[in-house]
Amino acid sequence: MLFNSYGFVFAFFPLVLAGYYLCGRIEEKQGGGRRIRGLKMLFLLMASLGFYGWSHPEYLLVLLGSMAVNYLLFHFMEKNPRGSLATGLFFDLGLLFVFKYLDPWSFVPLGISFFTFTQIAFLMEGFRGNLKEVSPLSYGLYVSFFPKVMQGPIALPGELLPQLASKPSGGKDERQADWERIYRGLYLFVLGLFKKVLIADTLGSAANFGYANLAALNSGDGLIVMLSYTLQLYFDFSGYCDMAMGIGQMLGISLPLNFDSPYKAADIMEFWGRWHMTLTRFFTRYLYIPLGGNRKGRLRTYGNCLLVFLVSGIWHGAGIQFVVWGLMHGLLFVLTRAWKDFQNESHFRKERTCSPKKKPPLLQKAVHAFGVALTFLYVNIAWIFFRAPSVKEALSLLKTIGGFSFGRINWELAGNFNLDEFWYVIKVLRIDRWQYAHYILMVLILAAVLFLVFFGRTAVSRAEKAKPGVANALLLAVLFVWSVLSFSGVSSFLYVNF
Amino acid sequence: MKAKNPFQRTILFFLAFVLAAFVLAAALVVYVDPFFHYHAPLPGFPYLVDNQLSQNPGMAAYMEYDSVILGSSMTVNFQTTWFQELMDLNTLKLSYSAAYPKDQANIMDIIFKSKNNQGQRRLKKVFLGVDVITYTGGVEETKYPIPEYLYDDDILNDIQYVLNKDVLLNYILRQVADPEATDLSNVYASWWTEEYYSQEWVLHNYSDPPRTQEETPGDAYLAAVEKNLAENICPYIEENPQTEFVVFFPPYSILFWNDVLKENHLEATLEEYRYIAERLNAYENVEVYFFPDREEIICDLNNYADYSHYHPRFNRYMAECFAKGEQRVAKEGEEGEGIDGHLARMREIALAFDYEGLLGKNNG
Repeated sequence: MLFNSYGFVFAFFPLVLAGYYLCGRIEEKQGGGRRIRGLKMLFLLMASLGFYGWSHPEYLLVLLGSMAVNYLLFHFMEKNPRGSLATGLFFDLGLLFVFKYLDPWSFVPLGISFFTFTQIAFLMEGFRGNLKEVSPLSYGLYVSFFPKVMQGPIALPGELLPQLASKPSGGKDERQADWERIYRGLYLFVLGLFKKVLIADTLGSAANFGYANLAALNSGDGLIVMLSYTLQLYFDFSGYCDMAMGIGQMLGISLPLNFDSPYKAADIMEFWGRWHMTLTRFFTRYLYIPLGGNRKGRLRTYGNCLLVFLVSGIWHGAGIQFVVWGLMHGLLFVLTRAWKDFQNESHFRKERTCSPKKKPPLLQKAVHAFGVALTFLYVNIAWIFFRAPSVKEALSLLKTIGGFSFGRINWELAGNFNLDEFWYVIKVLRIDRWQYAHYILMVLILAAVLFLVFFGRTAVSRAEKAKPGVANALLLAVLFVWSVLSFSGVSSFLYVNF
Repeated sequence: MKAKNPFQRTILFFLAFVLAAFVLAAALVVYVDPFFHYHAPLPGFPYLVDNQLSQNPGMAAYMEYDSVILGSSMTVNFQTTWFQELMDLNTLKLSYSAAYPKDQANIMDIIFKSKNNQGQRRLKKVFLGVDVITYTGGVEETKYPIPEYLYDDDILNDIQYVLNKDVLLNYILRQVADPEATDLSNVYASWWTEEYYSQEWVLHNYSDPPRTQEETPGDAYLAAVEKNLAENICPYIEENPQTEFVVFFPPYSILFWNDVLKENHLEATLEEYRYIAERLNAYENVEVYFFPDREEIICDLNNYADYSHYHPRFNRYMAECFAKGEQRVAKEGEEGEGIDGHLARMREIALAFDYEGLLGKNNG
């Protein structure tokens, strides 16, 4: 089930929310008797399994099987830590490999990477002795909690398990606090929904058109296609994560932050600290550090970094283009890191001899802006390899862009931005007769989205600081209604022969 | 609102706004009902009809008619006024581009359950265009995924219709702002203007297929065709003996036969024509019309806009034939030309035509 579906917003989630708080009330009324204490969490676990298996019960079997094996291995951890961990890793990575690359049963359970990584994190923390007793209920919910089971964020056991332990309910005061949490969660959910349904999907239709018609593009079109995908990916994934965090918050469970305005990063290292943060953290803790991290000399450190990006590339998809994407990021990451290491050293040497000179603030700002622009450009180019069907198509798009043959922007490409709701405004204002009218929305939407990306506050920080009141209620209602009305279009097929 | 907690109050305001907006939007869609899912068209509202998949089921369920035109894009250029003029029929056109037999079955389910075929009323005629290439596919296959919510009786999935931006903007508000109703007699007509009907244009867009060495056996298609007829067409003919089914094979251009020859399945194709014609003609309430062997039509590419789509004047011609019984395939034991005669002529035309001359002319 998708968050952006009628079934989720009108049936599943309202029922889960009501059921969750009802269970809370029951627990409270019973005075928190032992038996009744886990009721809320048991309810969430059942809801999560239902959510995951909704349209594909076979996915649920894989999830349950994987959870059972991992939980069992966790129990053997005390007796045989190494053996349990090795078996677990072999099982988890094997399962992932079989489903993703061999595909013997012609289906890949949605989110298999995410629930597998979540369980690897659990085993690793167990191995490191950071976990004491974990009940099957807590474990089940830690892995399958429905807001995150499909696309993350990849939560660590230390973040989630304490929140899932059955606490006695807190009575009246807590209920007052619940309202604020629900409000902020709702705020974040609606912003995420809008980001996904209206912003990402509009950009996505332009990107899809471009990648399906590469031969018809000129350099300007190519730039727009490249940019559209870069922005689509961000709004899609971060919109999804906003929704996940919002849902979690409404249910009193906070999920880790996954995106923090990544395109504002001034270098690639900063980018990876802001983009899909929980994945970066996962690879750092459970791959980079076990490889030796930065403790085995500079060369090994750089090699380890490169390897992490290579693995990340291969994990993101089958095909040499993902390896190229991973290596592009890895190489720049290593170069940046080497440059920073070098700077730190010379800085340290200078500091010993004379006091450091600070750059004037304006120059600092200019250097920062230059860094942001350059990083953004580089990330854009790397995304071309990520999105293109193959390296050949990626190179062809790059060649188109680099050919500097500009002309009128492709009519159909621009048409993807002409959302009906805005296009009617243009018609009513009678600007539609102007020869460039067809392009107005493309320019406005791209400009607005770029502005949001570089200068806007994140949805998370907006939701944290949102004031209650009628104005905000109205704003949220408009965004929510607009998004819901956009869930299903009217499928029309262009005239096809026969 | 009574709630003291400001956050609770804000949430209640949000819910009230959202509820009001959804009720308003849904009420508007149900009232105007641009896809005729709940009721007949409102008198005077300028309905836009341009979406076969979404609007055909509603039209079939709620409009007034005594006969229907079913088929692919081969049928979109029939004007229903001709059927009134020539046969005194009040006909509704329900074409589906590239329709498969299952598409026809889906819409016939709705047609025969409609008030036009209930109580004392019986549907007079069904004009069904048969494209042989679509009868060799799967029995459950539809050309495009259909919007199920408009074809079933489940009221819950109607939410996709009543809370739908496209429906609100393109089928209601646009029609209010710019009231131009679709003329139903000519609905779904193709966009080609006169100048597209030319040999030059047709050949410009035509690609000559490579030659296939192995010949498809003559009976290769029969199993699939038999299944399709048995599941998707014949039950409706059998269950509605008072309705006359006018089944017709449209005249594709000679380039269609070039494809058939190059792809090496002439005998299989002709066998398929024979099987469908014989099987359906055996019913008393079926008339079969055969147009592919009209040499003067199919051999002149100026009659076409592409390798299969003919000029609307041939739709008129076919309607006249239906009225007069011309080109009708004689039933077994009946006087007149039977399917064997038509197919023999078809084979002769297909084999004798100078394809090299036509295609070479363009290449040179």
